[in-house]
Amino acid sequence: MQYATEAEDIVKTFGKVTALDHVSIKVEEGEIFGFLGPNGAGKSTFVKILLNLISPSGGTAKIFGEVVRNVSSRRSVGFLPENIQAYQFLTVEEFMRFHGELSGLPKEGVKKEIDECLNTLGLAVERRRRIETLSRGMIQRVGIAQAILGRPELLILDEPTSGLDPIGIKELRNVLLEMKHRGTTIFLNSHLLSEVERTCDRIAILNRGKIIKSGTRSDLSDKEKHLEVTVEGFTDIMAREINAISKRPIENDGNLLRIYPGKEKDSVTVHRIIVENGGKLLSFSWKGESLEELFYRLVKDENLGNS
Amino acid sequence: MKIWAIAKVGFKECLRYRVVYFIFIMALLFILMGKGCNPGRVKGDFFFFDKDTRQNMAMASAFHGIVFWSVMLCGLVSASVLSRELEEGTAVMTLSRPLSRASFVAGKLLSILLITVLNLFLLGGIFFILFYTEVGRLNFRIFLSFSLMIFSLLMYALMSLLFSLFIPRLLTPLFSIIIYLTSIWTSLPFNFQKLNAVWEPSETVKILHSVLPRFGDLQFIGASFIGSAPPISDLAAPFGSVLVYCLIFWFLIVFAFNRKQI
Repeated sequence: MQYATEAEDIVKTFGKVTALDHVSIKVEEGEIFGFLGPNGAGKSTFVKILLNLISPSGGTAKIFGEVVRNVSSRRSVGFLPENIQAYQFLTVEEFMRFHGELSGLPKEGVKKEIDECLNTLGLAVERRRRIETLSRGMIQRVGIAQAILGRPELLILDEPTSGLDPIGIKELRNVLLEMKHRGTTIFLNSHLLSEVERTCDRIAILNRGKIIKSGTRSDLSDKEKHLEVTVEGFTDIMAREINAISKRPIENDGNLLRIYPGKEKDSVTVHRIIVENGGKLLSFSWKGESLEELFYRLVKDENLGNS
Repeated sequence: MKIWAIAKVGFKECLRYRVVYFIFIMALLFILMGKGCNPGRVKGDFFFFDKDTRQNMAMASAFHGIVFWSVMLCGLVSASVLSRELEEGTAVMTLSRPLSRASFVAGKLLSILLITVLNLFLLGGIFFILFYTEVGRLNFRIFLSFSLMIFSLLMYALMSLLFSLFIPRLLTPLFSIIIYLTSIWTSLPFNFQKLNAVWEPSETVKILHSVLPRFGDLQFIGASFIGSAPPISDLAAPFGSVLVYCLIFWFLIVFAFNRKQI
């Protein structure tokens, strides 16, 4: 099977610092892949390796089966960097035309393509303005417009919502879903967990240069499915008995308990333990972890484990 | 044409550098000063130089002056184009496109040549007109001389681009101009018969002349098209040197730029 992006055992070191530690990722064609991680996790370094802007210390990366060292691997890739540094003296239209020429778009079709992209991002009226006169949010829109120019088969977005207002974020979400509908593969690097949760088919979480979790959104959620129970009169005896059948220790926040039973049917046992030991159950339900909760927990656990 | 697209944007960017206008104005003042500070007419034939020789000398001086300012401009612009792209991060978006780094450098090089050659020919044109108004004679050979200088500017731009990848931006023009001036100086005894008759160059001068890029030889050959005295140097050696140096500089730039982390 050919993947849109395939990274095998990528290692990147900067002196004594290991930015990426044996990272392997496969992004299937047509999916939206979310790449999450705290600041300094190595996300942007990974993206730069995919675009051959920096070379890895080890491992191989491919785009649509072509090693990233080959120029042709980027023939159908749109990219939005984290910090857009565009030629400030160009107008929006000149900037778009420049990227159209670099992408090798046919001369006769490029104007139509530019018009379409500018209209999609609400930039049609700004086309003759110099980039240096635009606001931060507008520049971000220009960056997104150049990334989607020529309908690339792979779109790599590094923090695309940075600088966008809520309307811009909503419009961007629509653009991404429209692109996915057309068959574009989207690699999304983001801090905005709610956006990733809404749009991504699969997610990988990177921390300190290592992938600590990856899978579909439901995979990750199911794995961390837990009982959320509110109890009055919870005792140490109950905790001991429940922990004996749980995969992780109970987390309690006052009367609210998070219990991680080994099997789904163990919820009956949990219920029995609480009732038989004189506890008063106020609520009892299954909960999946939100992506935000999952992210914080995984990163926290990983950092505690490493320290 | 991706290289042309890079060159067009690079040219526009160069037009925003204040140094381009500063150098142009300085060179223009230099030409106008030559006219304004003219001490007056020499009546009859001066005992040492005849009228034609004096005019040729004046033209050659102006030629060397214009070339010097163009070389200065070339060095200052070359020091900035690649290093600015790397420092400011504008290269990131450009190089994420299906474009080789060699094409990117070629586009940038073309933009440097466009701005410096434009400067050279603008100044040359102004001098041509001034010379006509002063002497009443059109000398089209000056454009042949300036055309020859394109090779010199190409070699100088490549050398400065290479330096800019390794040394700070401010030091690059200084390093380049030192090499240029040394090359001019070491070329003197090899290009003027009268000087050659009284100056026996030392081994150091001979070595430097053969090892350094031959900016001097090329410039004196260019000047010889204006003046009456033909240069001593044959054309093959300096042009061979230019070709070899251009190739060496080019491959080193591409090699170094390919290894840059962007």
